[in-house]
Amino acid sequence: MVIYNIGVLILYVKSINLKNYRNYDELYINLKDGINIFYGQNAQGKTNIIESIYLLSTGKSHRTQKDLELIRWGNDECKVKVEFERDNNINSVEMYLKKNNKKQLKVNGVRLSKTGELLGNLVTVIFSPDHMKIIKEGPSERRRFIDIILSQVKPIYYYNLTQYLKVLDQRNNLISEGWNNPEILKTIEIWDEQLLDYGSRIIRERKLFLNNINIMANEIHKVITNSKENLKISYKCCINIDSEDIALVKARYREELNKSRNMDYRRGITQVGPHRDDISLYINEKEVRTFGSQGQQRTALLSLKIAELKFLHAETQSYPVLLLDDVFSELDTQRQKYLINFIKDIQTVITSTDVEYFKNLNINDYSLFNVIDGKIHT
Amino acid sequence: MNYYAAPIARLIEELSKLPGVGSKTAQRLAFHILDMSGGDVEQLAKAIVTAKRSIKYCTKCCNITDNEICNICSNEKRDPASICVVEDARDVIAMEKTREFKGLYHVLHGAISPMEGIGPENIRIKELLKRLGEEDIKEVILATNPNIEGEATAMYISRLIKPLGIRVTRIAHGIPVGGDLEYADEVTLMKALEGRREI
Repeated sequence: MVIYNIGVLILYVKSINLKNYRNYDELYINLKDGINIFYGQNAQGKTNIIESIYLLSTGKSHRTQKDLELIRWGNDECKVKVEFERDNNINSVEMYLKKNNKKQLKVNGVRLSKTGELLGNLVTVIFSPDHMKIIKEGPSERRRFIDIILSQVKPIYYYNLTQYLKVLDQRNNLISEGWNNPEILKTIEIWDEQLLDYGSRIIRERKLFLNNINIMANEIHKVITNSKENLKISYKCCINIDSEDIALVKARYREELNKSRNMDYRRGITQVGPHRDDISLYINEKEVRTFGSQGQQRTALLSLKIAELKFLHAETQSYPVLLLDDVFSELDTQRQKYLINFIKDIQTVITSTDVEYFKNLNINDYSLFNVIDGKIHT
Repeated sequence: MNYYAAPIARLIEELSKLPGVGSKTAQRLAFHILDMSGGDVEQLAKAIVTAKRSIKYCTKCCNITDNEICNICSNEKRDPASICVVEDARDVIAMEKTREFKGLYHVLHGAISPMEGIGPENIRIKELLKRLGEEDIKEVILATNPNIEGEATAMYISRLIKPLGIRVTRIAHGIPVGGDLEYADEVTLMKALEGRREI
């Protein structure tokens, strides 16, 4: 029997302030430190609320790559500000967007020079129907999943990753176009050296992370499925090594990189490295992506997302804010009950078209917000 | 561009090619030039042409100079046994401001970057190796920028020089002097920790 020990709640969003953001002209709302439910018809602006919190957590929207889409139609600029409490201190994060200008981010009024510096302030976990991509689609979605989590808790991971990608870019350029410049080809080893240095640190962090998340997700999944299913998450690392020792990882990685060099030249692309990593999810030894039913895939994702929440709690000593975008109604009653029980002490923001079923779930305390065409009625 | 008479349009166009000068600034500068006296304008034009014509690269360190050999290389008070390798002539000025470094320099004029098609032969590495063969040099200090291209260049040069038995060092990076530890970002602090030394 696994008992989930919920720590004292110390991180929660206090208020959201929007100006010319998506379909809101001006909005200021206070959130409760428990469960907040935004309900209403489709296309009224429910998800925009969740998006605004996530935006100030990671610096990017979960729905679009284009920041300009966030500005309300017919306007040139928009502002999003979120106040949150952490360890009894009130903090604020804000974003200011203007057409033809760089986006501005501020933490407690101080302007940030890099988006990366925002990570780790307002820590969130987001879960939307779109996240089924993690289970169903290609490896890049799963790498993104890992990278966002690790970047939130380890700034050095984010740094190593961006440096790695820069070196990789240089190396790929070298092996694909270096042929007309034999002198450049001779520099392959110095790029490899940096690639190995940043790459092995990334591999090490991913290994440690997946060991943790595997154990956590497995426990959670057992509880949700009444021990009927055994969920396993395994790291399909670009190199085959058991140790997490950085020197050993690097040595093994070096062997693989050297081995593939000739093939790399022929194909014009670097084929070994953490940019080719993947993870696999198995339920009772069968791969979920190919053999799992729709329901199993959804439950596996739920376990994974709750494991993410627990991992962030273990790393930062406080529970992140949980953002449930339109997923609650898709779960069956048993899973809804499990989730409600789990989140009762975690600040959660839920969007839903329907609120009736919440009344049957024995939640005694929650805030309701009715969203109608960019206006919120409490 | 029909707003301007052709010669003014041409002047604005040329000025806006300069770094940090946009079309508005170029327009302002162009009109300022038109307001200047004929003599001043000629002096400006002459200064530009003279600078370009008379400046050459020092035959030893490749720094920008107006002589065959630059002021630093020809200064007998400097220590000819150590060479500080930098990417850019502006880096020499930055180093000189410390007033601490008494050795000589070598200016590479760039860093290795396959993406921009810059290989080792496109920067002044050959000239550096030639110097190492001809002069009696005890130490080479690699002061290229601490980004991936600068690191790659430093690593490439160190691999060429090490077998020659010359001491090769890389400048340290980490916390800025005079700053508070609490304001340093995590990555910088981490780098500083990695590069710690015994006291």
